[in-house]
Amino acid sequence: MSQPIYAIVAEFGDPDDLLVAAEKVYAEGYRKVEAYSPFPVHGVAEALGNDCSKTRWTCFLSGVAGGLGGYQLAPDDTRSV
Amino acid sequence: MSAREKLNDDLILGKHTFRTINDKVNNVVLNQNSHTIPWAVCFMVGFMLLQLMGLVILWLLYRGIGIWGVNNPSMWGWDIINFVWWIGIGHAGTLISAILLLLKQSWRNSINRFAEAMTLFAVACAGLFPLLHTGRPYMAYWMFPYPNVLAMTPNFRSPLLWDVFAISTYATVSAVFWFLGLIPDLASLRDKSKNPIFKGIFGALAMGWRGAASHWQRYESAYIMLAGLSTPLVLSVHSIVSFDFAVANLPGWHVTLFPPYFVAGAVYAGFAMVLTLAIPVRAWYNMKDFITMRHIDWMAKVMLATGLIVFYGYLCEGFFSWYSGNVFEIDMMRFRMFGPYGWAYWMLILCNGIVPQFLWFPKIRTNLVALFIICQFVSLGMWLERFVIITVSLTRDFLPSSWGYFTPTIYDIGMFVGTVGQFTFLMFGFLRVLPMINNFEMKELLYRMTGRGHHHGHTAHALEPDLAGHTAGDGEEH
Repeated sequence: MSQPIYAIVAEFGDPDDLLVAAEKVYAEGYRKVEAYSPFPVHGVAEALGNDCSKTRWTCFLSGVAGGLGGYQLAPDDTRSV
Repeated sequence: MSAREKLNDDLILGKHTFRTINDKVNNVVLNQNSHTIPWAVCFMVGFMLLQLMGLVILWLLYRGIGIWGVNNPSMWGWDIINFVWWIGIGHAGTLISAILLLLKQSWRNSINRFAEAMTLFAVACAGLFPLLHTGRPYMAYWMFPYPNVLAMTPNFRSPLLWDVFAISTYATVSAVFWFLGLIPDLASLRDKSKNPIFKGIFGALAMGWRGAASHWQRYESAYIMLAGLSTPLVLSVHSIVSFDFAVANLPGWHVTLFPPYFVAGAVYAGFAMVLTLAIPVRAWYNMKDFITMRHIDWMAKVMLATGLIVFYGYLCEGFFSWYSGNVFEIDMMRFRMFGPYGWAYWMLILCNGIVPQFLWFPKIRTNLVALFIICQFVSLGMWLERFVIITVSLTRDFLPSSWGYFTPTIYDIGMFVGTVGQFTFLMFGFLRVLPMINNFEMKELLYRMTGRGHHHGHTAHALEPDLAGHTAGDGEEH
């Protein structure tokens, strides 16, 4: 009996090939896919169905929290010292 | 170093592949033999001056700031001049890393890393001066509005307090931005390093970077957002520094022109310092393929443009002090030009008004020796600008009875020379332990330059080895 296939790895010599392959794999219905590259190849993450809205929301909420926290540091002007 | 080199439009010269870029950038860090005598000389001189600064600070803490030349009426002297000078120098790094990124300027790619490092180190030098000028640096935390039982709160109406926030924000954002940019390159060093200790250090710093598409996506998203945060800082930090003067009622300081002309001056001085470092370093490490004459030419042009804004600022100061009809403002201008510090004013006009005009000539912009010398004039000029602004206004107040003359002591000079040493020491230390050029951005630039769709061209063939080496991520040894 053959062992169950855990994962398949493929190498690409060209960033454009990687992009084409990513699109094809996604179209075939595969979802647990990751692509590795030494520099950002634009479109690959999107082709694999990733989106980075989490980063944006984290940044926005951190900004709001930081802004509110900053106001907490401001002295109370009505207080007589 | 040949004085003139050919101007070319390519941002990467020579026949480069992803692998050669990767090796060239990483080699400076991984092959410790790549550092030659010039590196050792700069590092040693920097280290010696840093020791000198240590002695000066020790004596300063023991005796108090009376050892400096600052005294009534000139309560600000070299300390604040040096502070403003160093902070200004940092601005070029932020401009290159943030504003040029948002404007999608590809020529930032090879110079952003060490320009950002320069920013950090310049801010580190700048921060020392106000910190020590407080006289009790161990009480520096009093400047922050922390909850306390001393019934003490900082004065939020004082620009000096805004400065505390401006500089600390600037230092924090610059450090985070720099480190974020380093992460993929640290991962590359981790993968290429043979030494297990270095591998461990780079690996820990790379924080598990694998170069996955999802990593890159989040990375780029975060990087753009940090650039967005840094962009207002380029303008705000030096504006706030200029408020230290502009908000005061002193003649020569109470000028609405200050914020824009300080910011322009900051970028101007910063590019002079980037060029001062880039011109020798690219020759010593043979990085001429990456930091090309095109880069140098453009930096010189930015310097010329900002220099003209600065010079326009000087002209405006002269005009408006006359046009104001205010006797104190008119006299202030007279004292600047013909008073006891007149030599500084005319030196300033020479350094920032006349010498940069040589940059109009392409022949001079591509002449490295001439450009290097002009950069030194610019640095001196920007120092003199702050000297003229601070010293003349403080020693020529409204009342002639409070006039005085400022003379620096050897401790002022020691502090300044010491920070130059600290800067040199940190800069050359950085060259040795971290990649001075943004490795992955250069590879991406090469990819964009060679273009999409050339699957079977000679460049496509050249792409193969490096991509194959990296696709394995950290799971497989290359």
